[in-house]
Amino acid sequence: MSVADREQLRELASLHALGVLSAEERAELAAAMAADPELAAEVRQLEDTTGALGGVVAQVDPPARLRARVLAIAGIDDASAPSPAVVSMTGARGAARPADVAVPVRGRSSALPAWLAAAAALVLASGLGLWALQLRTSLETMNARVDRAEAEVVRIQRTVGEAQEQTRVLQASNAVLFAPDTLRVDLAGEGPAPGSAARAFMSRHSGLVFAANQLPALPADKVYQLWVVPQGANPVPISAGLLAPDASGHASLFFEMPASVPLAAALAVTVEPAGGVPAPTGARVLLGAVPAATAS
Amino acid sequence: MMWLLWAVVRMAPQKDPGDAADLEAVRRMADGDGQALALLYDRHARVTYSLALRILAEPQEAEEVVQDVFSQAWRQAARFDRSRGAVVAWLLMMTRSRAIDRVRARRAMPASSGDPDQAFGLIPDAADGPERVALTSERAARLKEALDTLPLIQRLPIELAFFEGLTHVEVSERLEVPLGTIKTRIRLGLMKMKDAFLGGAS
Repeated sequence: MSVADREQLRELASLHALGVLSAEERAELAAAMAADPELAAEVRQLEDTTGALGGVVAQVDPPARLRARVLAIAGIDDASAPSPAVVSMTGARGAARPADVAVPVRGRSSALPAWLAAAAALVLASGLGLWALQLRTSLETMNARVDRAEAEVVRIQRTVGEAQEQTRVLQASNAVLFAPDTLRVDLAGEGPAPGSAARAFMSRHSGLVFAANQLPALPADKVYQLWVVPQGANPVPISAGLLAPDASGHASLFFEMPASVPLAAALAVTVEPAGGVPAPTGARVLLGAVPAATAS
Repeated sequence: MMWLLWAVVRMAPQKDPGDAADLEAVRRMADGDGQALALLYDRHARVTYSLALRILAEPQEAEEVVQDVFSQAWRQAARFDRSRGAVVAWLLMMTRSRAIDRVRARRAMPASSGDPDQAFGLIPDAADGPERVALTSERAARLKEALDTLPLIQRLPIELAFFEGLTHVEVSERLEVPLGTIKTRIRLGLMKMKDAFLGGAS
């Protein structure tokens, strides 16, 4: 890059910080920034500088009625604000100021010349100005409502997505129940959960449907985890997922049974740290042997 | 100069409780908490109103701008990106954009920069950029002093662009100074202000 080009980009950076670039010039600067971290850093520093520049002008109190109009955007009725007419004549500060204004405040009323206050009073007296303000506030309130409605649509879409996922699981579970190779596994409670019982239907092709009853409630840092214990001498259990019992101790789960899962000898449920673990570590609460496939 | 002290006290540094309170308020606004909007308004209505009034020189219009700015902040709270700087800087830039748009409309000039929200701070950040510079009271005071002590030939173009919303081309026509010269003066002036603003920070 030539020195002249470089200097030109630096000038663009300054103009950008003042907010006067055209869209094309901004695009040019953005492209150059992507290739030149030093330029990008300088742009940010210049932005921060002009960002602060807006705050160093002479400070003037806004009229108290403005607070009520702004809060109306959020649907809050600002009862603490005095009536508009009182404010425009006296410039009194609103009652509801934060505690952090314990700093000396510049002597007031220097900001508004008398003719301006009189003019403001005249506008208010005509009622037109106030009417316009009210319309404006209504418009802002409407805008805010539209935004809320949009957010609501997003929430509904999410709920629909969750419902679709539930439907998918139900359909998959149904497929398990009617698969030709489905086996039934009954699990009995043991250890800390002698009263618990569970039943599972498993198909190597369609998946595993599992439901347990009377599972004791667990502390928040613990969770129940279901394992498929493969056949063989030293089986390595495979996690089939976490169980979240409801208030009555009922929990159900669908596991897709990837093709990589070997033939199962048993199903077991253990108590594990929240979030689950890759291999069982905790107390076993349910165990059931898988009947031989040929037997069914 | 009391107002300057006051303005300066307002401009809390990024890591102090003031900015943390702003961030918390914006987060709560994103959740639809109207009291958080009240909090943000109480903290920054004065500084935004003052800037709008400085640009527009018309109280009624300045009020409308402030109302629009807090309305926009309320609607866009969820999209506020703290990596782009302090909350107060965000409010100030929205204020400037909207006030400038009105000034230009009043003079029947075309909008200065298309989408006002694009005019500042929306150039995509390069991967891991440096920390944004916080607005400390010290920095604000140095910035004010730097602006006040700039040579007039540098200060005027900067003020015409920032507070009057003139483009560099319009500044050049207004001052009857060649465009290249205006660009150079703006650059020299802004670099001095930037150095003063950042000075002693490293």
